[in-house]
Amino acid sequence: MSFPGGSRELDPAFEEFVRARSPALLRTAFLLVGDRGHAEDLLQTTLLRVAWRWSAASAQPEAYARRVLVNLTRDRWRNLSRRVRERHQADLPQLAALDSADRIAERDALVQALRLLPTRQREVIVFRFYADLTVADTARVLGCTEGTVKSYTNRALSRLRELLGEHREIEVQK
Amino acid sequence: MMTEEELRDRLHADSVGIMPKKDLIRTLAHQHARRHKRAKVGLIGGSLGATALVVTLLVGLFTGGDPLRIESASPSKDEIVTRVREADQAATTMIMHFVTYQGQSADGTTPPRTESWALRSENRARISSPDRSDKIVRPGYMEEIDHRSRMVKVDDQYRLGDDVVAHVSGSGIGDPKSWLSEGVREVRTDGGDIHLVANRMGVEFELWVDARTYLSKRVVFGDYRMTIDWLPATEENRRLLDHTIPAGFGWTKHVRDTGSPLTPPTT
Repeated sequence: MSFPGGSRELDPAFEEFVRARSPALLRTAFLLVGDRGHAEDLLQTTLLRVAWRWSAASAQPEAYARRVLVNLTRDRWRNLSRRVRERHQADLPQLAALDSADRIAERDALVQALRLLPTRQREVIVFRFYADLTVADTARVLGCTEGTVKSYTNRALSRLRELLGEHREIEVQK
Repeated sequence: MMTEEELRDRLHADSVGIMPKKDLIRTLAHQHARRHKRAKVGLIGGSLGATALVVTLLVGLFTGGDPLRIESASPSKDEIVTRVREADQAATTMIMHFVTYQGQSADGTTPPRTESWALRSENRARISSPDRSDKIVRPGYMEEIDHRSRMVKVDDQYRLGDDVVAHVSGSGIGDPKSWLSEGVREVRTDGGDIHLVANRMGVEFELWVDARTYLSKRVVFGDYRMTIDWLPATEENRRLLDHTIPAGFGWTKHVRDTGSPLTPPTT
């Protein structure tokens, strides 16, 4: 009798993959959702699904994991929009001024701006400029055409520029 | 000019400090083994169950005994209420997270809102009303932050009773186990959920439960509305039952009639 999960034990190659790529996947998840706790949950669920389907995923585990991560992230946004909308930390009342607040604010400005982008625009920014995927690979991860990726990229960069209050142009390599 | 490379650098710089937990692989191994075990049990159990059903049907057919009783695919009203109660009882060790709305604001658009968390098995709960107050309760203790007066009121003789939900929800709502105590008048399916209509203290009480888990999802009670979800009582979620007192806030100890200055706790 065989199970989709394969062995009860994790495959050593999967463990090696986790050691090597989990930091990058976690940071990708963080940039997609803007919250470290949720990013850790997403990473764990993603890796469990990869482990469960390791025989199918082992050929290109990172691409497989990215696709799972995107699907889980989209599920999460859908659930949030149906249920209780989460309040981001920045929306909560400011309780106390911290010495490091300004420094944190500056460092986090881009992450906060990313959160304000529509989901698909945020995804193209993260996969193209953080994960360094090509337009074609980004399209495969997001399940859309290359033209859509280019279009979202231009709109996202333009919106990011507005959000960051910059009047400088963000150059996009064609 | 901010180039594509600079954008890359900033994305990496903003996330560089984020590292997975050190026990990630161990956690994954544990979860994977558990899932494997569940799947195995389900597969074997399912096969055995199907075999047993076929054997039973054949025996019943050929021995000419009484027809087998087949359980209805649509449970009756009483069965639904029983399942709702059982699901609720099983969820007392989960954190009940709910957002409430009551009445309307002056512009008639945005109702006031509170957000609450309750761990009923431990009689601990919290209610937060943004920009106004944030209160936590546990047996023998209450602590309330008043953001407008910048004061914290504590009561170390707080009488909690056995219904912690009542302390962090609107008047008359109370613990979910009491919601259907006056009987259910009507049950219907509603967009994938089960919709129960009851009376409570003379007011119509509507409850929507998840058709799969039978856990409560939404309540309408007069002009009081509540949406509910259920969180596992993990260490991270338990932190939602507590709040952080802002720096510079004053303290008063609740003495029923008047307040008196109190030295902030040292722990």
